[in-house]
Order: sequence, then C-alpha cells, then structure tokens
Amino acid sequence: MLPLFGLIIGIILGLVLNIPIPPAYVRYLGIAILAALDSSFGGLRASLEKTFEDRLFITGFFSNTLMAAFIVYVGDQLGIGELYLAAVVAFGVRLFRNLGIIRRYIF
Amino acid sequence: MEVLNFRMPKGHVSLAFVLLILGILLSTSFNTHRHLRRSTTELRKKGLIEVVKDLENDRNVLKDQLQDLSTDINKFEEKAAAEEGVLASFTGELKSQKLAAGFLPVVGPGVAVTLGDSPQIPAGKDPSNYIIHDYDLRVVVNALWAGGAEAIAINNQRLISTSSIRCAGNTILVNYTRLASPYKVKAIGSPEKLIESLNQNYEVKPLLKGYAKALALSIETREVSKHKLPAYNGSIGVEYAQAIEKEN
Repeated sequence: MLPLFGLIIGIILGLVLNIPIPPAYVRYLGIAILAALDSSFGGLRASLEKTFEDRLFITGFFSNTLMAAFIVYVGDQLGIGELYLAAVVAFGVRLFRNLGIIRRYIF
Repeated sequence: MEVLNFRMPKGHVSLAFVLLILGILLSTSFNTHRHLRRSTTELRKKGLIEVVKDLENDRNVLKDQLQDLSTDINKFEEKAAAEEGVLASFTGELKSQKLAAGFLPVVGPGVAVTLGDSPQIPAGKDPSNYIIHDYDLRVVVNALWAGGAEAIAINNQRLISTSSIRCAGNTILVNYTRLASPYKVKAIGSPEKLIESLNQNYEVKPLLKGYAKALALSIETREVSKHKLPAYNGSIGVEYAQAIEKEN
C-alpha cells in the first residue's frame, strides 16, 4: 500500500507544485521518467524475487534517471540526437522484460 | 523505522519514496506538456490575430482604393457625359447644317410645279417655242426661292448652293444630270407664299398665264401638304474657296 500512496502523493505534489520546465528540457524529463519507471519496475521485480536491496535500489534509481537525462543531453550537445532513441529503446526493453518477470510472479 | 520495517514488506519504504519522485516527475511532465500545448495554441492564436489584423488593414486599404476608384469613375463618367453632350451638340449642328445645305432628304409641305413640252408642234412653227427651256425652269426656281422655299428639287435632283440649271443640247442639265420633260419642280416651304411668289413674279406670270396656253405647254402648279425631296447625291469639291478664320 505504501508504494501506491507514495505514487499518488507524488502525482498530487507534482500537480500542485506545477514546476515549470523550459520546453528545451522536456526531452530530458521524458527520458528521466522512462528511467524512473524502469527503476521502479526493477525494484518491484527485485522485491518479488526477494533480492531487493534498499541501497542498490535507491542509487540505481537516481543514477539511472540522471544518467539517462545526462546521456541524452550529451548526445544533443554532440549532435547525436539518436542517443535519445538509444536510451528509449534500452529502457523500453528493460521495462518490458521486468514487466514480464513481474507478471510471471503475480500470475 | 524499525517498527515500520517490521510490518511492511521489505523495501516498501524506499519503493514508496522512489514512486513519490516518479509521481512528481510524471505530473510535472504532464503539466509541462499541457502548458506547452496551451502555449502553442496561444501562440497560434496570437499569430492568427495578427493575420486577421493584417487582413483587416489590407481590406481597409482596398476599401479606400475602391472608393478612390469609384470617385474616379464618377468623374470620368461625368466628363464622358459632358463630352457626349458636346458631341451631341456638334452632331445636332452638323445635322442642321446638312439639312440647310441640302444633304439630307427632307419632307414637308410646299408646291409642285410640273412643266411639260407641248405635245404637238404645229407645222411651220419654230419648235423651240413649244418646249420648256432651262430659263423657264430658272425663273420658276428663282421665284420659288424668292417665295421662301427651303428646299427645291427638279426631277429628284436636289438643288444646292452650287447647282446650275442649264441647257445642254436637247436636254436640261441639273447637277450634271440630264433631265427630260416633264419637269417636276418640287419645293418645300409655305404653300401660300410660294404660290403667291410664283403668281406675282413678272417672269413666271406670263409663263403660267400666257405662254402656257398659247403654246400648249402643260404647266401645272399645285399645293402639296406633304412631299419628299431627296438629298443631293453628287460630289462637292470645294477647291478654291477657303474658309476665312474669324479675325480677333
């Protein structure tokens, strides 16, 4: 229950705070969300596999999110806009793999 | 924390924390995108408003142009009308001049004088006494002019200012056209005045009263309430006469 509460409170907080993001950084926000989703599902999977570790999860979440945004940023600076796609594909693949594993545990 | 950890499944606190941050990210992204959409529509709106304003300006300019052009058209139309008026007066003047000069067929009341040669020339008499001569026609025509005739034609040859009536052998030339007896002299004018003029002319009177009977010439004069005279159809060559410009 607590993770669900956390998610709902987070969404409400975000809506209420309404942090303005410059249009130029919307792409980084998007990739950061993808990374965060990936980490969250990873954590869920780990907890189902009983291999969950707080430290690993937290650091993984932050490093993944920040690094994803950073890599896309670097790609944009170097003129490799395709790096964004690479990150999306990588995270997408991991996301679906994690989802699949979670599904196998639940059902 | 110890109690919580005890009751919660392992890692749920950190999971909740992470999901909280994820939630913030999600809603922020959502908000941003919504804002972006709105701002783009606002931007579009602004652009459209400017386009509308530009078009309105254009329309106003065009309206002004239209007004200018229509006033121009009015001016031109007035001018044209004035010119047409001038033209019309010129045309009218030309018509009256032509009418007076004999270049238009005319119709009106007047008299018709028919002069014919004697049908029989008695033997032993001078035949030239029994025919109509050019001078007979001349005196008649002269009397008619004197009686205020406005148009005269002999056998459909309209007399104009340069017309002559002269003898050419057995025939009479009018406007260089041979005429033969009987000679029908048609005149337009006041019938009474013309008749009076004919009857009182000292040259015509003996012709009508005396010779006609004596020489069996068929001369008939009658009033006409309405008859037609043709237009002069010859050429007019004014070679030597030059118009004198008005001196200031």
